Amino acid sequence: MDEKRLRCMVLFGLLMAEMYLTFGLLQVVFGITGRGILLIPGDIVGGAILALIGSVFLAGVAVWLGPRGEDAGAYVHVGAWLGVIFCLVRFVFLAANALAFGLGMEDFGEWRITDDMVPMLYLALFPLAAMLRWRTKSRKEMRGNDKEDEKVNRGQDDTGVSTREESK
Amino acid sequence: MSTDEIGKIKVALAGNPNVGKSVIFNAITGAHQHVGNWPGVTVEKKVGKRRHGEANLEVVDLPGTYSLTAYSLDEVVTRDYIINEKPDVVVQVVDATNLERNLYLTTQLMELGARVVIALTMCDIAEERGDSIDVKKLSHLIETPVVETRAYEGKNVGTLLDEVVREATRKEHHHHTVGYGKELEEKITTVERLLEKDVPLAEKMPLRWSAVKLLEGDEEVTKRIAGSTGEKEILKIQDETPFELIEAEIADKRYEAIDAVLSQCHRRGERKLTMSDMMDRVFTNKWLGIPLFLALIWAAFQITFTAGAPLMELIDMGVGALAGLVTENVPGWFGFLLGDGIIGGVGAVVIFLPNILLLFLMLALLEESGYMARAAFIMDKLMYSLGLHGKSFIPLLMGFGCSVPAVMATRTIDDKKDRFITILVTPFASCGARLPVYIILAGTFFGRNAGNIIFGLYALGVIVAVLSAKLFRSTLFRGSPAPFVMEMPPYRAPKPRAVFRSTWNNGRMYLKKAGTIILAGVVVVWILASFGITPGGEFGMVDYGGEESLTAHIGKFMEPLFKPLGFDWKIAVALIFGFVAKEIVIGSLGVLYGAGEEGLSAALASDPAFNPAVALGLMVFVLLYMPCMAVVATIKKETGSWGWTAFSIAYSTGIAWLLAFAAVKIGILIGIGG
Amino acid sequence: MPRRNRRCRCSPGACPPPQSGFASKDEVTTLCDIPEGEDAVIVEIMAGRRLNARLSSMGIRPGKKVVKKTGFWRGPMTIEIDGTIYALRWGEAGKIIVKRK
Ligand SMILES: Nc1nc2c(ncn2[C@@H]2O[C@H](COP(=O)(O)OP(=O)(O)OP(=O)(O)O)[C@@H](O)[C@H]2O)c(=O)[nH]1
Ligand SMILES: [Mg+2]
Repeated sequence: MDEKRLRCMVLFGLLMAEMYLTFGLLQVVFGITGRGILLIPGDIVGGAILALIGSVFLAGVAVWLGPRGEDAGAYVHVGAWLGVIFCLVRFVFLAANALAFGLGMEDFGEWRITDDMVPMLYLALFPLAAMLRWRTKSRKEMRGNDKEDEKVNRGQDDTGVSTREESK
Repeated sequence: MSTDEIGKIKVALAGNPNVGKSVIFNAITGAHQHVGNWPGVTVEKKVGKRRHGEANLEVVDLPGTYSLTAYSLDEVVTRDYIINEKPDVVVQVVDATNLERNLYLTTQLMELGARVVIALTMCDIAEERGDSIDVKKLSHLIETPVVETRAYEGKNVGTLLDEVVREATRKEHHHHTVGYGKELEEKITTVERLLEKDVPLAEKMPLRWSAVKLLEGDEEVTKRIAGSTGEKEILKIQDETPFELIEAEIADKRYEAIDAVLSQCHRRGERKLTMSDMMDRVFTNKWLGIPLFLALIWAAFQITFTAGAPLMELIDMGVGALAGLVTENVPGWFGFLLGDGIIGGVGAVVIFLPNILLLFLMLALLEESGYMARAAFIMDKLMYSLGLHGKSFIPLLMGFGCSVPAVMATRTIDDKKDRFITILVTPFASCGARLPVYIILAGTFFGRNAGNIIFGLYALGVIVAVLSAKLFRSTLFRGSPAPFVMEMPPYRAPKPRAVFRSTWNNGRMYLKKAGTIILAGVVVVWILASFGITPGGEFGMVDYGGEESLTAHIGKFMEPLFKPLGFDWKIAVALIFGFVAKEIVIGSLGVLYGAGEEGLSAALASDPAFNPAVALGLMVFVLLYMPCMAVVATIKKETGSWGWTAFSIAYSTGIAWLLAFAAVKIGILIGIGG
Repeated sequence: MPRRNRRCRCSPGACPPPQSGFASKDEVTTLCDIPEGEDAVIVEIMAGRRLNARLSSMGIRPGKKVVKKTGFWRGPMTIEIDGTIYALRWGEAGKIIVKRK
């Protein structure tokens, strides 16, 4: 992984760490005090998870400052994935609650879609955008490498969780 | 080749753990063997059939093993099958990403004199890593057919079977051997000569393999030669042999031979940082590992409940409508049986299908992604301090699905004490069958907090399991846990097809159970509730579920036991029938409350015998009390002892009673006992 | 790196003399004593007959290059050999003698 790209990634990690930690801790505090504002409802567990994702990003930044700086990318990358995965989880909740509301189940009479617009859902837009960008970038690089080594590229799949090369 | 010459061919699928044996087995036979991305999924042999051309194949899927020296019970299954049953062909499934280690088992199989066909798997991953394997050359060098398979796509299975049939019908069989050096070979020859003298024994055992094993000091083989003519002399040779050195020497020589072959036909690609490496760095990080594990498990549970709720509501509406239709249109007692009994009872169970499917979907994702083995790793330190083994955590996680495979999964734990402790505590992990009870009761009595209560119950199950383990370790099974060494499979994006298949298999089993055991159970409960001794002293139909019915008599008989917990006779009856299958607890309540139409939830809410405290106590009791019939049978089979089985039943029921009592009392204290 | 000044705690006799902190280059130590992310070559395994044979059948054997990946203080650790990851406990790692290049 070249130096410039790594620095870019770490910078992004720092930004994400800040956002996830801030929103997460806010949610925890709101959860304890029993308040909460529009788009940032109180939620102790949800907030703790956001803060945890923030810590993964932060760990990346910390590693970058340490002796094995080149490992930082891994933390930022996985942090981004975690952000997206938990966003999906939240999205499933939203869909389920909407269905429950549609069916007129009790407990859901008061439900509004904004109740489920939580940071876990919308914060993921950033890692998602970043991941798309990384992907197109490494695609391009892959194409560049194609002539040298066709085999590497053949096993690619679109899910991205498989072994794919991010370096070079 | 004529037909009768081929006949039936016995084929064994052997290989290292987690190389894809069960995937190949499923592709060959069309079976639904459980597949998962962690070592130790298959722990029992499974037979399947397949007709290929002229040949009838009897294929056996075996547990994975690293060598023919068995350490754990699942490995014993494999070794015993290969050595005693002598399959015509052994298909060794070989992971192309780790040829060297996989071929180590091949050298042993060949020494045994087995006809081996090698099926390469994971070629896609090897390719991605940039490795290159010259399959033809490999096959030529080890004089064994090697077939590249892509069984998970259903490809190349035919080619593999062609080779199997060809190998089985080949006249002469070439014995391959690894040379162990002059000194050792002389010893081997001496032992072989001695073994040869005992003709009946020599016919049963491959000579060279037995000789090598004897020189390694293998206890099983030493036992086998007891009473043979050469026994004395062999024992004398054994006395002079430093087993440890010999074993190391032999292993070295085998690896040397493998290296000699691989250096000619295998080139390793340059190692790159893969996504799997990246994930491992984060998920097995000492600071982040445990919090991430908790977060992922929390997400899995929340999805199971939150997403399941509206889907369940949909089915519930359907069941209610059906019951209404039946009671209106079908007259007489048969309408009763259908409406209150079958639809009320079975329906009460079937509506949980969405939750069950989601639960198993989460488990399938956990297994297929490769995170399962990491969970064992992350938890090892905690488990060790409690006197358990990291591997013991896998049965506990599997127990969230069903306790039967979970108890069987303990076979991968080598140490007997570790294993027994794990067997005894695994049923405390709350299985899918207990879930309906929580959903109904927590949903009815705890409203918005239902999710937290249910999560708390799951946590309670694990806590009781872990503390019981500590208790057993410091009383019944003293000692410290055996060494922990485990292979961590690479993370993989779960294949949608595999995940869907695994989920649906479990869902289908749930439905099948609802249509058989649970149906039978609720019909019995309905009959017991409908008949009784009339006031006149005669036997006949009585007031349904009333004071004179047989159920009431049974329940009243058990009532003293349950009275302190605040459970009335209906609950007592439900709990007794819950032994058959835990879903029947809900099924019986559905029958006894005649809940077909209005739904069980409403019926329970309006019963004065129920209140949140009782509901909490009941949930705790159902979580912990004796495992169902199928699990009891499995515990008997796995421990081989009625004593331990009885102990398991008594211990769990005792704990259940105590904790349920505590839960009810606490509930009353905090004012939810009204 | 003062924080990482740990010692190998394993059964006496199975270990070389304890090192103070991490082994320097070319030094023979145990798997416990190499830092995360570093590699070494296995020299010998002294885990008793049973475990020796088991480890060797799993591909953990003398002569192999091993990379220590992650570790839980004195708990389990992950190592990589030939592209395969294994988990083992601190106690077992103390019986694997390695040499750092
Ligand atoms: N990429 C890839 N994955 C495979 C291949 N074959 C099997 N798998 C996956 O490898 C994992 C292990 O497959 P199983 O069939 O359960 O392995 P097994 O050898 O039966 O394992 P045990 O029963 O534990 O010994 C599963 O997640 C499969 O989906 C293959 O050729 N390529
Ligand atoms: Mg299997």
